[in-house]
Amino acid sequence: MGLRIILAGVVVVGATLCGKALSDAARQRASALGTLVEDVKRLRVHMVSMFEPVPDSLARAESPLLRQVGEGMRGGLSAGEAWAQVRRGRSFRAGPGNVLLREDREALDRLFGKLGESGRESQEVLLSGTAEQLERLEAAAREKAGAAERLYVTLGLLVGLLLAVIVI
Amino acid sequence: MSVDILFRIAGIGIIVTVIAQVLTRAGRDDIAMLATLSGLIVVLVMVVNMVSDFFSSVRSLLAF
Repeated sequence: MGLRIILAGVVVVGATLCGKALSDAARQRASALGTLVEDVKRLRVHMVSMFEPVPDSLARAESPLLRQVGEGMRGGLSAGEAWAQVRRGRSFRAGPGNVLLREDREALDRLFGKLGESGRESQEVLLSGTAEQLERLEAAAREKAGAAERLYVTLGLLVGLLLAVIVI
Repeated sequence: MSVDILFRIAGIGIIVTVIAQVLTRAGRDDIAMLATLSGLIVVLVMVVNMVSDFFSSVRSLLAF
């Protein structure tokens, strides 16, 4: 009897942890967007206020996606071409690009399509606009992540209880 | 017939109902329906097994 109770407890805890793991993807997206927001803001300061070249500013970004774009630009590509190259790469789907949704990628497409290709004021407007857009996406992502975590943890707990009742 | 099976069926019914409610409130009505049907199938299988055992017992009793 005691062993059954212990086994039931293990099943319930295991299922709850599975539910928590399932909600990880939503949390990772919110975290990735948060990093991108900070990087774009930092980019705005370095490029517009400190007149730093775009590749050098991108090379100091926390987000691996922006760093890869910076490396591509150092190889002679424009921001748009470097971003297209990063998106086609295998590491994009397998790595940080995997958690981004279509609207996140579209915001970055718009940013890199015009980055480094116009005057200082236009660049400031572009970077400010992108930062605001990414902030909105990040806020929505955090809300979704919270809801998803609550849902999946609750479902995991209930499914664990169900398995414990059926099997044990 | 063990009384445990009745408590087990009641427990499954309650938990499946709660799962369906949680899924419905989260906007996943289709998955809630699937969960309810799955619970129903599990309980039906258990009941069918019990009925089958009952008939086997009756048959063996009457066959002497």
